[in-house]
Amino acid sequence: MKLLKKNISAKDGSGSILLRPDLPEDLWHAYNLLQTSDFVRCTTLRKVINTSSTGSTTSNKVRTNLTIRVTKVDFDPESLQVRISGPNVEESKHVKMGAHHTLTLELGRNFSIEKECWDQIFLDRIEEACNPELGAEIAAIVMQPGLAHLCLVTGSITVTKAKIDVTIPKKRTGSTNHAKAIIRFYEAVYQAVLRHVDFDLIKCVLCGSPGYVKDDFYKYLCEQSVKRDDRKLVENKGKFVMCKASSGHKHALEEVFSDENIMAKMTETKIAKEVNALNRFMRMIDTDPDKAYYGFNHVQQANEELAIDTLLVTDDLFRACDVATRKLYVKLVESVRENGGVVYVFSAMHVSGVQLNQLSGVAAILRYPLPDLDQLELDAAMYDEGNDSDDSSNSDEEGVDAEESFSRVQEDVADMGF
Amino acid sequence: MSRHRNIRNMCEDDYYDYEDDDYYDDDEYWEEEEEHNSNYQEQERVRKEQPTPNKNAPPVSVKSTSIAASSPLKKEVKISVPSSSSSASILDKERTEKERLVISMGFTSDKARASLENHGWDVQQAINDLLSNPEISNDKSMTMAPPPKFMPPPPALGDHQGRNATLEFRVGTTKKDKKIETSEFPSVKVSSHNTKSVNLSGVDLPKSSQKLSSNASLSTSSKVSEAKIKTKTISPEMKKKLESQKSRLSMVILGHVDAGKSTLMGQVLVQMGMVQNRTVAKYQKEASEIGKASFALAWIMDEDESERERGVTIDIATKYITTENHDLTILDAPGHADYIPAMITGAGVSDVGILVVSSTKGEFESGFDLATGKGGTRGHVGQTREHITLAKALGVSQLIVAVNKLDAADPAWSQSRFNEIQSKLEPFLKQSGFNLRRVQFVPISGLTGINVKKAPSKDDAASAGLAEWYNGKTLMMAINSFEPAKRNIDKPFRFIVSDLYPEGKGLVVKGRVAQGIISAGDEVVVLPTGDIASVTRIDHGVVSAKANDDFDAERVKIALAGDSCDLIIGGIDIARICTGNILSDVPMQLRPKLKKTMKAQILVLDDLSVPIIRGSQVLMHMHCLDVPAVISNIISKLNKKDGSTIPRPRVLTGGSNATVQIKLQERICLERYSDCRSLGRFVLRRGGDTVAIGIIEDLED
Repeated sequence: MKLLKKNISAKDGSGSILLRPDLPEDLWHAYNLLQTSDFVRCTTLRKVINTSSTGSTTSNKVRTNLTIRVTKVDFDPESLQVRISGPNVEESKHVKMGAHHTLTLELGRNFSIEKECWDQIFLDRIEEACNPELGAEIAAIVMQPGLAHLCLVTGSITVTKAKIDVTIPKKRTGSTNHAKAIIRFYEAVYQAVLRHVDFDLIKCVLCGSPGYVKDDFYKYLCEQSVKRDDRKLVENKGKFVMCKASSGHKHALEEVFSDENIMAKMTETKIAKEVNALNRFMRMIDTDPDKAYYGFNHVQQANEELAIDTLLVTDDLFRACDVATRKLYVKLVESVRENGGVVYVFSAMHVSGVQLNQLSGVAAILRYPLPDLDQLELDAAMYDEGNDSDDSSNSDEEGVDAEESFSRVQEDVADMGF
Repeated sequence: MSRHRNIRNMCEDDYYDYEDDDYYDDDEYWEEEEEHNSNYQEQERVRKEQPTPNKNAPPVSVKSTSIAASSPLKKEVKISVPSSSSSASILDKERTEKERLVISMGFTSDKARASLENHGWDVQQAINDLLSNPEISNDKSMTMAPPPKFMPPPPALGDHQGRNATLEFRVGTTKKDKKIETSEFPSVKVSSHNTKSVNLSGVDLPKSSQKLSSNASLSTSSKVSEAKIKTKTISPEMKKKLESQKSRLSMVILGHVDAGKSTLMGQVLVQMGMVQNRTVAKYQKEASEIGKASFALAWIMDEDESERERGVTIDIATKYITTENHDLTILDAPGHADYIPAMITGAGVSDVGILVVSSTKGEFESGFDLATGKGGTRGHVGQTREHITLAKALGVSQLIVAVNKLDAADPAWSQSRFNEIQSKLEPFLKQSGFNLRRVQFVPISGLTGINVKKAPSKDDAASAGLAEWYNGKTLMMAINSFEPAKRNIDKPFRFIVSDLYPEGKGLVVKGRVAQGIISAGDEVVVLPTGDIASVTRIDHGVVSAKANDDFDAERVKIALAGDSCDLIIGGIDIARICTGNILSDVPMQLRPKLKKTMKAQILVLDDLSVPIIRGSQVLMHMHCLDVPAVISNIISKLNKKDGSTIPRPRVLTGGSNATVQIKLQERICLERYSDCRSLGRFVLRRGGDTVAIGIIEDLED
């Protein structure tokens, strides 16, 4: 991303910036910068219908500059497209004021965003987007017999490029179906690598799987690339790095990035840092649960006690359509920083971010234990229930259900040997 | 949706196209497929030309039964009677028919009429009432009405018979079938169509009954018929006979890597004479050529090239053996920690197990003791431990602990070593939930075959050491002494697909009947896709070959709960079915639910490296599936001290017993543990470690 112009008032943070996205990843950053009620100016295609004097109509696409007030922002993680919709707010030859339009941000085309308030998180994001050397581009393949995911990982996004799913028959006497299916599976992964991995950009290809799948695949790849004279693969064989993963599902990528050998090679990348922080949090919850908390209420309480050492938060929370929610989290981040804590803003596009999102999106490792927070949470829960009577009645029912079912399944459980 | 077999390329291009073309590799398959299609069309034509006797025929069971019976095709005749009509004359006629129907069941006309009147002319209830009344049942045997031609004898009351059942007589494909089914084993099918229908296609029961009823101007409500759809059952005679027969058991072989599981099973197969000496000699020669002579027996199980090369089992191998009391399906599981998912697929469909432990110094310890990794962090658990936990959680209730390699212990055949291993394992087995009365310890040597089939003798130098102190069971005796497992024959049909491949005209689906019954000719639905397929044949493996009497011949035509068998199905493309799918009865209310969210009770394992918190990402393994899942809510935790529940705990540490909500990434067939055990229990794993075992309490939307 190139920052072409920055015009932000120091007083209230309002103003506009002009950006040019160069890499697909920049679109993800742009998506994170946008909020409803921002003004976006960008060149776009508009279908214009002209009515001639005789009444016949012709329609043609016109490239024009439009400014719209954002009402909706969409991000397509697979094709990496950002679509922004909203009413036109600038008089134009082709488009009336207030007419609805949807912009698609394109690589290499400038766009400007005007906001009422550029907070620190936005500014950090622009900083990060404009310094792409922080990210490293790598490809990762996780495999298990019959299932593989090929992903491209850059500084702040992980894109699944191919999912390969082949049913592999079991081994049987006198049948070669099993061996054939395995070869078919490796071939499919091979083709996916050939198609999606651009070795000019990519520094390494991480190959993770349980058991010998990765080794067998690598052997297949080396043999076949020589046989078929796929220069790209023959020359870049060295870029394949074998590591451990417990399955071929996408979330196993997290294990790949937790691998010590891999980590040592890429400590400076964002994903490595994120995975590391998340692992630290998980370990802390195991060894000293009073020093690790998650969920906004808990973390907020801990922050008030000035106890937060490391704050983990996903960028999903900052994209909240609701401005008040966003402000809440921005305030939390700023306050933690003020108090000397470290903040990691996880990308929701990475597997680590996905996992953190499932843990409510915000988590904290504390400096010292706060055993009383549970009590605080009970208070908070009561407060919640006071606010939302429907919710409280639901939870009560749940409690009763749980007790009933406990007795109901006791027999089964005894049978299972619990 | 379940995982599809095709490649889903996330980008616009589909590079896999050409792959599909040579999917089956052999052109032969396609030729056969065409032949099959033309045969099928021919059959369809015959069916259409077949007179449809039910449409205009009065609702008398006898006639339609005989017509259908003479049909050369397989079909089912459903007998039942319209339940109500406004016209008085029709009413009278109806009542007469109903009475005749009840009488034809073998009751006296007085009793039939009285019972019918008592039940508002509801034939089903009346018959049931008569059947369930023992006095009348006795009575009936003396006053049995002369059986109409082709009318099966009155079915005796089975405990499984539903409250509102009409009776359906199945007519087999061949003359022989007919004879057996109608005379010796009246297979009673509880069904419930208010209309009498010869169900030729059997595609959609409620619909077809509705259609036929309108044709015949009989009033019926598809709703009523749906509500009454019952599962298929077998006659009590059949049941009784089954009990006296050899029982079917599935046996999984467990144990730490290199404990000698495959070698032991190879040895068992050799001693049972299931493997030709020539083959063994060949393996021995080949194995010693690559310097792995001791692996020769394991090669009987490890047939894959890469398994032999590396000397480890990677995937489940399936073999059959027969003992005096049991027909056993042997599933040889891999022991390596990385292949636990494969082991789960094996244990998930097994009733009994053999746990092989190596007794040599160090090997037993590394398999069983809690391993500690570098710097005091908790490392992987030995697989002996993990396998025991998983086996119990997945339904293995009886276990033989084969203390292997005791001839290589120090000193050879050391009794104290055997006792030491037993005393170390017993507390853990008990803690895992095994009843120690159902656990047998047997000292053996898998490689030499001592105490596998032949008891050790003092005259034999190799086994004298064991014979000195051991006079218990041999391994084969221990296997033979397994108790038969309980089977849920009366529950709706469920078949777990563990493997499939095209063969000849159809598709061979390997797997296990989790519950219920299936017979050749039945329609099944493949879930989660919802496609309908028909079972053309059932293959019981080696058991099919030794049908030596009528009973056996009959037995191999159906598959009962607990059978591991192959179903040959037709009418479905191989791309529409994959491993982990469930085959079930077609009627909607008998199908398992496709759900994403469930409430489950889980037991978190003790040796957990990272605790479970709300939002933890796990991989859920059940039978042959693995699906990414998230612990979306921790509802409550059991307080072990006083048995009370702690609502909404923040974190679940090792050893917790908790109720949680789990959200899956995709919809799969789930059932409450109380409804179907095989589809109601699961294992949660994370990063290659087993974190919890659990059962489904309830399904949520």
